[in-house]
Amino acid sequence: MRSSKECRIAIVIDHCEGTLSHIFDEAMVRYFSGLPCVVSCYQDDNLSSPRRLEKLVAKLRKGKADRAVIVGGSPKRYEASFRRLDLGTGFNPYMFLVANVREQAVWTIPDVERAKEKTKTIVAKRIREATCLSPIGEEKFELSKNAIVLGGGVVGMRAALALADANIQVTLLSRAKDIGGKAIQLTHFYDRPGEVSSWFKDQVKKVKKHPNIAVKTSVELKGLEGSLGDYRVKVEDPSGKRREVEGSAVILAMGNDVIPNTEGIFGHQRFISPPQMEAMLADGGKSLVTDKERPLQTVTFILDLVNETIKIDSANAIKNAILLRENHDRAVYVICRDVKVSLDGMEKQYRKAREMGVIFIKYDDPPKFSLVNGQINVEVKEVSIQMRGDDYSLSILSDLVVVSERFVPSKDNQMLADVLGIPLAEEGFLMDENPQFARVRTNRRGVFIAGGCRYPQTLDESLVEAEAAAAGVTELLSQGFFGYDLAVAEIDPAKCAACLTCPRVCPHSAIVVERYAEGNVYVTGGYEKDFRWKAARVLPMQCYGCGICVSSCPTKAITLKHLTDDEISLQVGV
Amino acid sequence: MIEPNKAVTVGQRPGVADQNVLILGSGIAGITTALELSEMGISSTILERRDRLGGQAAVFACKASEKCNKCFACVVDNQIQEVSRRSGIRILTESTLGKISGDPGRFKVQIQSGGNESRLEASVILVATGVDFFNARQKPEYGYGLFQNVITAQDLDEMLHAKGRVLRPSDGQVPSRIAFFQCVGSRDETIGHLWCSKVCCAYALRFMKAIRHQYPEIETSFFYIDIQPLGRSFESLLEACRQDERMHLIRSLPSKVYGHRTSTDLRIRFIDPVSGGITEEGFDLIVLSIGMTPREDADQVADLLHVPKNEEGFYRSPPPDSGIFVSGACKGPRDIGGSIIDAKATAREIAQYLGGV
Ligand SMILES: Cc1cc2nc3c(=O)[nH]c(=O)nc-3n(C[C@H](O)[C@H](O)[C@H](O)COP(=O)(O)OP(=O)(O)OC[C@H]3O[C@@H](n4cnc5c(N)ncnc54)[C@H](O)[C@@H]3O)c2cc1C
Ligand SMILES: Cc1cc2nc3c(=O)[nH]c(=O)nc-3n(C[C@H](O)[C@H](O)[C@H](O)COP(=O)(O)OP(=O)(O)OC[C@H]3O[C@@H](n4cnc5c(N)ncnc54)[C@H](O)[C@@H]3O)c2cc1C
Ligand code: SF4
Ligand code: SF4
Ligand code: SF4
Ligand code: SF4
Repeated sequence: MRSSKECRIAIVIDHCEGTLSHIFDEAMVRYFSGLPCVVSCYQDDNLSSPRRLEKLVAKLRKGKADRAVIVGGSPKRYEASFRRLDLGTGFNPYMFLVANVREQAVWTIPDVERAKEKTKTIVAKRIREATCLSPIGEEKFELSKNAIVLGGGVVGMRAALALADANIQVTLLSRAKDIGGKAIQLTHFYDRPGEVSSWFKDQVKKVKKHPNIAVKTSVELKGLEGSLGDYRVKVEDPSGKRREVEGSAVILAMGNDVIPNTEGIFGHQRFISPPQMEAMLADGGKSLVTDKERPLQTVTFILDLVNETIKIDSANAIKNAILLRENHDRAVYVICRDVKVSLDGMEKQYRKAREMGVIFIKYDDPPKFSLVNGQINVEVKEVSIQMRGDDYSLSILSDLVVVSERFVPSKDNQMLADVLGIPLAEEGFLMDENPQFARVRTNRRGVFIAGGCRYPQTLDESLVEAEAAAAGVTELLSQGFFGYDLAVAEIDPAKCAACLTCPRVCPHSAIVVERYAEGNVYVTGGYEKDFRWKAARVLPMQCYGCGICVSSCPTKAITLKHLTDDEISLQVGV
Repeated sequence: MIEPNKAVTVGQRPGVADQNVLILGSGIAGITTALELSEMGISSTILERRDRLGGQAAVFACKASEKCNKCFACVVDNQIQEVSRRSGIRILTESTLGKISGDPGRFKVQIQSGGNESRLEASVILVATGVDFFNARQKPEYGYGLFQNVITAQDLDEMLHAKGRVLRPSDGQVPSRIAFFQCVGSRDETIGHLWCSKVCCAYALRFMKAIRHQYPEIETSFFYIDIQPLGRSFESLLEACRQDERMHLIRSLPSKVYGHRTSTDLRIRFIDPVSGGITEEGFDLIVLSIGMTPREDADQVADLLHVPKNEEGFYRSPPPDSGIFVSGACKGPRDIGGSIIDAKATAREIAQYLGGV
């Protein structure tokens, strides 16, 4: 601990918009000024305003003090303003302490005199704590304004555009030969009739033309490493040449994979997938009549055998059922467990489909299929229209049966989860750090997820995710640097036994174990030269200061900078 | 392009008032936008008509059973606390919008708080006014307001939030048979509501899970048309409900609720999907899963701010250069998670409009 003489404390009284003025009378101010190490005392009406805080800092900088205690409301009140302070100057956020007298004294103790006494105790305690503050967080990392978007589907494209418009240089990497993703196969969206291909072309053109976006297609992902400010994606082009792409942050938008259902009878040519149905409708329905054996009269959609809790198939079937009735006069059945109408405008589409004669049949037991004279016989027990008799099955002779493909996580999810330490949800989709508070953000600072690699959803739902992920990246990079705004853990290499405990427990993949790292110099008696020891190291830009590693280290090699033992014992002391 | 290190003051679009964003409504959408803007150094003023923050979702109870059922209610509590502490966010409760003049980027706004009037300048106005719960009295056949033991899901939520218990309003006893009616006020042509409210299936299923966990002896029935999935963890929730033997999922909507002259028991009539015949069954608590409707004053706000609407009466986004933005459930039904993510996207659009990022 530093001796008290070395430090010069400024007291800053925040009247919290006048609500605390009755506490901070002259006597109180005199009391504060008389406390040890206090060299100055300022008063302000509302310090939570970023501007007022800036002015205060300017004043403090001119004065003699080297640290400050704010007497006012909850630390949270000032946190956001603190974080915006320019870390390059003499004062930094960790040279401030907050005495929360509003909540701990004034609000809880109705009697004014007793509240004043409590205020004095709290402030005195804080002053003592202030004597052992050491400036941390002065370091900051430059962040270049560039980002990598992995995946060139609609989601990746939207994210790239949003970033590029915010003046961030984007490298858009895509495995396919061209950008566009799955949605490019679709001629209509249920909620954007007609205009979709022009909308889509427009998006593609914008991406390709944007001066801030570099598009690289036909690349295979081979690895991803680094941390905020310095992510490196390794890719391989078709000729086998590898290269590295750099970016300060990454948005993962690789979409999801699909597995067509071709087992057993589903392999028969009259079973087709939704994209095949799309293709048949895309050419104006020409392929719907060219089947020589038999005109394709009856089309049946089978839903919910797979993807029961994903809404895409249902939306798609209703859309195509309407087209088949409207433009091609086919008989259309949609057989499902539940019609998914929880999409904007879908209830109306569902109603329209029924009005046009599309027949919806709901089942509890999956339908059975058999071949009858080259047609598919779909047998299903209907549950919502009332059938007399106990075991009544409907039999629908169909010329075409559309069965859904199973939506599965992209095969790259596992690899990315492994190299980045991002957890996977039950089904194998990438997990957000916290689906409630921090959707699209991962536990790895600077890595965001959106679209089908997170969870397959319809276009609109996926696009908002793209926007939100772009917002997250923009927020991180907008300042041009990353300061240690949160206190981070630090490992003393001399104490570290390289037991590999902490890298495993850290939820943010913030600890690496280096073999002969710079600075890990461990001088032992028997060696002439410095002996470089294997030791763990915290990557400050990944660390969230959660403290989990501190308690897990068997050799007590890890400390959290903002809470050294000195400070803890002082806090416990009063 | 902003210089690194100078980002403390975000760059400004020329002619834009001192960055202050006026946010109409303190629901989860409004609060989240304010917090996101504050992260980017943009100040805002939240205008809330009621005397408390948080909108509809602030009264929701936790619906955890043996594990958290991801209802998002606690997120709202957390965000309310966060927003009242954060700097650069002014909060005016019991306040509404008066007249508006000025141009996009520099609106002059009159504000009525109680009897007082004040003025402020706003660079951007965000409409996050949310939705109304459907008024269950508009479906008289279900007897809401007539029978004591017919309540809405919102009533049940408030009961659970306040008392932590499920009780029959008639006598304060724990009910033994509860029925949930889905799609009350949604997907209903007779009242012209041709939309699905998206959240109420998951909402009611979570409720049933929580109730069955707290009172294993209660039997619950869920009357529905189609079950709508909500989010990523829905599959396991649905599976758990299907496994529960005392939780009956019945694909049929009851036609009417009948009261009894001498007791408070209720009988309902519906078509039994198993036998195909008309059936009657008795329950001692009926919960109506009410949906969302456009706010009663939706037209007023729309006219004042020139916000376009869709056929259902929910708001659509105005052109980006109007300086007016919309976010949250006022654009159409969505859950808390959906409102949060929408708010984040909107905050970015606003920041971009202001020329800051
Ligand atoms: C049959 C069908 C019908 C649909 N109908 C509708 C509809 O009517 N309305 C609606 O709103 N939505 C509909 N959708 C959903 C909509 O298509 C999706 O929401 C949308 O395509 C998701 O986009 P995405 O960018 O997340 O994924 P994708 O479109 O799958 O794009 C992913 C991209 O990432 C690339 N990629 C993958 N892995 C890597 C890697 N490792 N490295 C580099 N690049 C990689 C791929 O090449 C691809 O370009 C439908 C979907 C399907 C399948
Ligand atoms: C029965 C029911 C159950 C639900 N259950 C869940 C659930 O379990 N999980 C879930 O995620 N979601 C649930 N939801 C959805 C959830 O309520 C909404 O997603 C959420 O409340 C939307 O937030 P919002 O901010 O858009 O609007 P709101 O919460 O409606 O907030 C709008 C606010 O704006 C204020 N306001 C309106 N007009 C004005 C004006 N002119 N001036 C000033 N202030 C104004 C209102 O007073 C209100 O406080 C449920 C909805 C319903 C109807
Ligand atoms: S404090 Fe938390 S985030 Fe930081 S290194 Fe330790 S465990 Fe990881
Ligand atoms: S837990 Fe401690 S000893 Fe083990 S690797 Fe980490 S710092 Fe080293
Ligand atoms: S059930 Fe809802 S309120 Fe309870 S912990 Fe889970 S998300 Fe929060
Ligand atoms: S979510 Fe379920 S209960 Fe609500 S309107 Fe839609 S189908 Fe009906």
